[in-house]
Amino acid sequence: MAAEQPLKSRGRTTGGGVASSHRAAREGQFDDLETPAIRALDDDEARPEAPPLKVAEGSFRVMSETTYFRRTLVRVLIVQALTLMVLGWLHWTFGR
Amino acid sequence: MHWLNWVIVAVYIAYVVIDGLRRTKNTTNIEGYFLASRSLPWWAVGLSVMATQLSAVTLIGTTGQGATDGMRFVQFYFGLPIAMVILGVTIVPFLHAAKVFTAYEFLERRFDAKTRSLTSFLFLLSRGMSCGAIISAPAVVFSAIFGWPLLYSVALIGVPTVAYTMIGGVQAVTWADVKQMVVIVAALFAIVVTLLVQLPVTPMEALQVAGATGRLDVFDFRFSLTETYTFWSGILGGTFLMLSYFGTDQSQVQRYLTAKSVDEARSSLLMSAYWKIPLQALVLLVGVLIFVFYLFTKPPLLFNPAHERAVASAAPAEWADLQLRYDVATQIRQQATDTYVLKDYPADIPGIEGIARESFVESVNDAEAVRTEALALAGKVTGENTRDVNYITPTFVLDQLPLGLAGLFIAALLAAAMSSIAAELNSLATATVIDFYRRWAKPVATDAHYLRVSKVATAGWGIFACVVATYAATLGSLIEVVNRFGSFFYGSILGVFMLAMLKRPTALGAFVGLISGMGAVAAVSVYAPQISFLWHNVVGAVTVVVVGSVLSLFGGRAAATA
Repeated sequence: MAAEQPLKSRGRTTGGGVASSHRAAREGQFDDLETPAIRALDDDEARPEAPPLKVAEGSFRVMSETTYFRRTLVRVLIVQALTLMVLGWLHWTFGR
Repeated sequence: MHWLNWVIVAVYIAYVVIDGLRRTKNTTNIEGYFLASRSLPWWAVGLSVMATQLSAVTLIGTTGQGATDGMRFVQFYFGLPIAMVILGVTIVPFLHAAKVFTAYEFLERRFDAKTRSLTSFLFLLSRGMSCGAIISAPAVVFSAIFGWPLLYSVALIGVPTVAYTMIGGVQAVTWADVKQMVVIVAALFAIVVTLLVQLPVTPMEALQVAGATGRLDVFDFRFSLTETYTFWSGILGGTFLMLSYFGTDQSQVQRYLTAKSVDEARSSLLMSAYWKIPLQALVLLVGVLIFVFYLFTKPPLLFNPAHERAVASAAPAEWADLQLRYDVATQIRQQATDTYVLKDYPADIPGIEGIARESFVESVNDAEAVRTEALALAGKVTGENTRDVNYITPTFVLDQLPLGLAGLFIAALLAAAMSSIAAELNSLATATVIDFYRRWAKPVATDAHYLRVSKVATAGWGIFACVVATYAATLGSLIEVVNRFGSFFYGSILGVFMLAMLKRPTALGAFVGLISGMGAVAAVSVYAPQISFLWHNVVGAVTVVVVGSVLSLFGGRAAATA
């Protein structure tokens, strides 16, 4: 199935073949190749930290959104946990 | 109110209007007028987002809710931080990169014109109505407290807001919001400090007293579809509500579309993710402390002075009897409070602390029972909704705050009302001009023409909101009124945006899904009215996604077969 699909990017490109390959890998077109480098593309932890992917104007893919999502979520959850701790102190110390 | 307080209020209104009128930079075209030419910094946008949510309803209704019901309302916001993070990686980059004026414009690019027009129309309907409710909340309170005709109060809030919004556009709205946010937070802290100074007990003792009456019961972990304020409804229902509100409501979307870049837009939303819950907790805590204050100082039997006057003149004998009983009940309550807080009992008797606590709670309930009777009598006499939650904080402010601070609070109340109304008028005008006038009536015209129409639309929506405000007064708890208006449509509109981000859904699937979502919410409201309105958002969004996806799947197969 994957072999039948052409290895080209769909929609707006992020410029260059690297980005096209990256997207193709995300879409599973390289699943049957199974090289460590390709597997690493799907694994944020294994991949060395790369600068944010700058894209052409108008594109919806702005940067490595998985990384952004994870980092922001962790920060927000830490702040929320601290807030809930204060609220929890009020609740369990003074509540009925 | 002392004249010096009025001077503070007058100076504040003059400053906001004059500053707003000066901010006409970049408003010679509609992108400048509606989106500030996408040039604003994240912190200004973030404060504007927060100021837009923090309406006068929050300042008087939520503090009143804190005084009568305690802190549990804060659970309503538990889904907000999660929603902000999700929006940061989904809708925000989509809309910012699409260079749209309205969120609904994006739906035409993805689906078709009718989906865009319907969602925009629903926004106009719900926001137009809620804008009236937002003006009405402080206007009704001002009328009752100062004895003004309602129309004057509505005009005091509405006229300056419409003036600076109409002339200055989104620049005026955003920069006014920044200053208004500062005034609001300053006023809240001033009240907290005043309360802590005036209370005859330490802050810890005040919390102990409030806690004994259940007002510090923050969490409710029951999973109940009928209870609005529980941990789970806040996390699940609240997340859907906040996703809908911040992701698809033009009054919020337009705020972050004015940001310089996607990253700045995201940062502006994250400001709410970090600060909204602490701010709401502070607002509720103000209410809780006001409740504690009135345990040591005799409060009025009815907080709405207009109702008090009406009952005293229409049923003087019953009123005098209730007053007498309330005097006795509050005296007993004060003694019980002193005994409980100061531990004025022999410590060697086992279980005496529990008895003192029960006796205190019972005395609070007894005083509340007399007040409930008085409210019922007021309802009988006036024929109006007599819930006086919204009058508790203004009564405290005008009676107890030192000279100058009462003026600051009234200015903050006006600031809160103005910031929300201005943002909504601006977004209502944007949706009217971009989604209807430019789309259907006059697709080709000069920017100067659209700018003129935009200003007329802003003024028109301002007049509409003021008219609604004069009739929204009797709709019950204003907080819930605002949320109820939105809940009928919010979830379904969110569902359409969720479909828009998937590959398969078709225009037909999205449109039929949207209708089905609203139908499902209406059915739930009619046949299961006990289900809390927070869950309507979940019902609406899920129905739209399921119906839209299934229809698109079959539609796609039919097209492929053909």
